[in-house]
Amino acid sequence: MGHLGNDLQCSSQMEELVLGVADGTITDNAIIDEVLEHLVHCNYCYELYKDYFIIAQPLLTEQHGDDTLTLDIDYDNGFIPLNVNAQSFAAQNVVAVLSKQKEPVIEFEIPLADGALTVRIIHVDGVFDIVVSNSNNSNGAKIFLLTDEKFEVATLSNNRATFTFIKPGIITLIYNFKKIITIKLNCK
Amino acid sequence: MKKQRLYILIIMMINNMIGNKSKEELLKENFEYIDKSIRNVNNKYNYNLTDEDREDILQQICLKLYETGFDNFQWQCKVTTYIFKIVENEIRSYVRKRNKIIVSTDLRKHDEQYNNNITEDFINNISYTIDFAQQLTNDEVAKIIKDTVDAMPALQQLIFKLHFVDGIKQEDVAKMCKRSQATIAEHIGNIRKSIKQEVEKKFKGFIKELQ
Repeated sequence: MGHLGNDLQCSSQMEELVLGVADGTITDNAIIDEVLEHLVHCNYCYELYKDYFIIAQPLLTEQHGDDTLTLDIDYDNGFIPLNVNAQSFAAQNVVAVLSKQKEPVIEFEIPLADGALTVRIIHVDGVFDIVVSNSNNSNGAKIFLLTDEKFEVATLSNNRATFTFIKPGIITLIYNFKKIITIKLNCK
Repeated sequence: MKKQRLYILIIMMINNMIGNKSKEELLKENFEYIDKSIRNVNNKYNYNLTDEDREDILQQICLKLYETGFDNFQWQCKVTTYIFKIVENEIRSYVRKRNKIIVSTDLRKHDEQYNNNITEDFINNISYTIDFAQQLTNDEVAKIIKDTVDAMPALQQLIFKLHFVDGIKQEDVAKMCKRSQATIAEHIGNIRKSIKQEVEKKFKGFIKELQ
């Protein structure tokens, strides 16, 4: 404690060692003792180590929130909705409005506390466009889209946001930090 | 020509894959975790981040992970743990910018500040166990405690910080120090005993001085 160390950030290599000991990835006792000794003198790593146990670890043991919805959709010259795995929405509440065989468009309505979110997927020349809209005035709301290939953010304007040239695969949409919609889009 | 294309393809794959997963996959899998981490760090440190702040931070974190973060990951810890570190750093950096705080790099100043915190917190935590310590001034007790803890092995110094200064329960200290709870309890007992002995020694010295 005579040399309490400092609050300056350590090297990223040391930080990873500290975190590796924290989460149990590192099991070598010599490294563990070295890291624990380092924590006595380095306030930055000490706080990081402590926060892992206080903040990060409990998060990992938490169940996924109630706001997660998973949709399995097949496309074979038209959309065929398959499974809906919703933890908080009753499956029947997710309504396929325009889903017909051989139609290149499918539309889902997902109830929200203040209205409904509509997700429309349109097949265009081998790729897909996704249009998200809210029945209520929600201009400025943000939507994140994550696929295996891209990460995009769109802001609702005129109550709608559009993502284009989306390839089939797992598509995650996060609406205004509230609803997480995972669409597993398979092309046959 | 074919060979060159294959080479470019392999380079592209290496650049985009972390372990067996692409950056996008890692980001997607952990998006919810990032969002929750931001909320929890915000709650713990009372940063008073608005929804807009959180959105900005989330975007910065995703971009950072995508552009460089995952490339620098060395697999010494779990991906989620690594992400958590990025989250903490980004939030701190954002808050510093927001509050326009100039971060001092004067180590002595930091140490002094930290010493003061430790002293105050620790005295509040431990003085009830040493009745006669009340007869000494806080500064005197603090100095005895500091000198005693300085002389302890590193593990005991860490246990002291975690348990007595930060008030973390024995059970959790055991997890953090990768030791059994019984071992930690023993160390805590020894720390108390050592400090008590030192205070007693000094206290006798004070009595003699008074006589």
